Amino acid sequence: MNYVLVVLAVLAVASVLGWLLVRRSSGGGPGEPAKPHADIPPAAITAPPAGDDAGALEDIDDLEGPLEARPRRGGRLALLGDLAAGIAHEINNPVAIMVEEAGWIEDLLEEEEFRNSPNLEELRRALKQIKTQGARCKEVTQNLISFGQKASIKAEDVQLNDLIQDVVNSYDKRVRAGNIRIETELAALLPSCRLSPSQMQQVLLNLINNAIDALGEKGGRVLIRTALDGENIVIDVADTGPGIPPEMLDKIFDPFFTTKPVGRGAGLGLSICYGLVERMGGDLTVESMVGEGAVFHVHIPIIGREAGARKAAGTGDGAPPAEETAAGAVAATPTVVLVVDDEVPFVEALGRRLARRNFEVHTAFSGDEALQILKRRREIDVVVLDVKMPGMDGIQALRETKASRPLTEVILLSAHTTVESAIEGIKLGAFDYLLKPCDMGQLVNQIERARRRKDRQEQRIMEARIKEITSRRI
Amino acid sequence: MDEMSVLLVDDEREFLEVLTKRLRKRKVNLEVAVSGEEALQTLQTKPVDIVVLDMRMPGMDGLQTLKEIKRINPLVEVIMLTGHANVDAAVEGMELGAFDYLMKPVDFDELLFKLQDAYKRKAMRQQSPGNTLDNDL
Repeated sequence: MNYVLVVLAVLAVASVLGWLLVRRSSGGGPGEPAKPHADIPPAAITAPPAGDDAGALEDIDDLEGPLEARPRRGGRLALLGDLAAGIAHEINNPVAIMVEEAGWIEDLLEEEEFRNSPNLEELRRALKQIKTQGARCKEVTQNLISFGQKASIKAEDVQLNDLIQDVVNSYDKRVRAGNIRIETELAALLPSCRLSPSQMQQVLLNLINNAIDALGEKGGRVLIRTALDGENIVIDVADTGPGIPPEMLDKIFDPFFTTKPVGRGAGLGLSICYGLVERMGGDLTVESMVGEGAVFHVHIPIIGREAGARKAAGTGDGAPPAEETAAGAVAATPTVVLVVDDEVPFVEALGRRLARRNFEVHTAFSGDEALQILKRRREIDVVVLDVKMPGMDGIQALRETKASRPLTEVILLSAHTTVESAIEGIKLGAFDYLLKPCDMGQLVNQIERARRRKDRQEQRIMEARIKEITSRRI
Repeated sequence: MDEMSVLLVDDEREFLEVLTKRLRKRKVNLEVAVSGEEALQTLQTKPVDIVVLDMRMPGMDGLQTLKEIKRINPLVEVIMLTGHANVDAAVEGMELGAFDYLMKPVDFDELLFKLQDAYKRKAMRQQSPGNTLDNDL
């Protein structure tokens, strides 16, 4: 629900902006080619916003055959990103003040005069609600701010064929039900390229979802193809749907342009895709012929060709399991580890050795201390936890960690005498256990594997969220 | 918390007001400033342990102010408040010696924890001035 409100707010502001820029959009039912409206002149002239990069559209009527269009560069999408981020910042300040005032009221309610107030509980509940809603606002604005961010997200060496195969596999059930076939033609020995896998996944999901929507009730084929084109890798996402009419081709990358009826998709998908591809240093274009479907071309430059060539030589066009691919990937941020054990010299020694291997290390000497640190430091990826400690023991600490931070991975360290607890720990969600004294290489290996599992889970959650926003299904 | 002295720097006066009330209720010794320049002036005459610094202010910007604070008194701990999810500025701030950063709207409990942590680190450093230990303990 919150997402709807925010998107409506941004929609409202953007339509004002759009009106100012003399924009119009055409509409039509899903699966139907849009009928040109009588009041839209054939070649709508729009004034680009000040500072728009060069990118005038060629006059479409002059081209023959399948019509290809490029969205206008830079200008509008960057404008939207800045708009979204600007709104988010403006909202953050009043929300911060509101939440602090609620907290201040909470502080005052602890005074003597209120002790016997009949409404004390209700007042506290209401204040808690204010804080909860404030936290939700914060989450929403963070999403908007990320949309406007120019900072790049973790880049890795990615084998696109594997990524595409993973994405296509996730469609299986949905697709069989609706007489739609998703096929792939993936080039052999495709070099790796350097980009953020989660961003590329978002792009692919969006394009494939659009293709499926275009096919509608009648069904049809979606084809995903990869090929090498000089310095670039090209990914094609093609469908056998009704195609896109020429007057819409130059608008489909515009934010909030949609052919879906109100409430069934805000129309952000393609503009987000365009922005993401641009951030990867690539380009997104579309070709379409009415009655013959559409093809979206994603061009991605291959950066770091030496690494790519090495991988390509060993890979072939099969699909190595995702874990092996991740093993070749270079993580851009160091793994943050929390080491927990009541034996102080052990913790310090382990901490030093991990730090030398480029882990960011934090330490705790008890379960309680560990939980406190986890509460303050959201960036902790992996906890290395001794099973047997006085006070709160390892298993209890594990339970509480998993309860508040299910994505944080826990590796248990156990003596021979406590192996059963360690096994119980696995059932409670620990990643693995190692016997003390443990081999450093083994521990480091497990920490890295745990980190990769955490990253994959986070990616999946992010995809689900983006899907929710960009391909709204109510 | 009554040994701790803190300077709050933020151009949003209403935010500053309510935060002041809440911190003073917890016996924190508090000074406030609404700009980078005012913060630096205050620091000349009233030394503090910790500065909580909003990074996005008109006039002298957060990073500039941070640099100056560290020049005047390197032992003062600085906690950055970014309403800007601008991770680059925050990271640069850390490299310039800031203790840590928090995102706005800031969770009051988190701020308290950070203040305590920063105070601990300052105390440790003051005891052993030659020690460049940066580990969190």
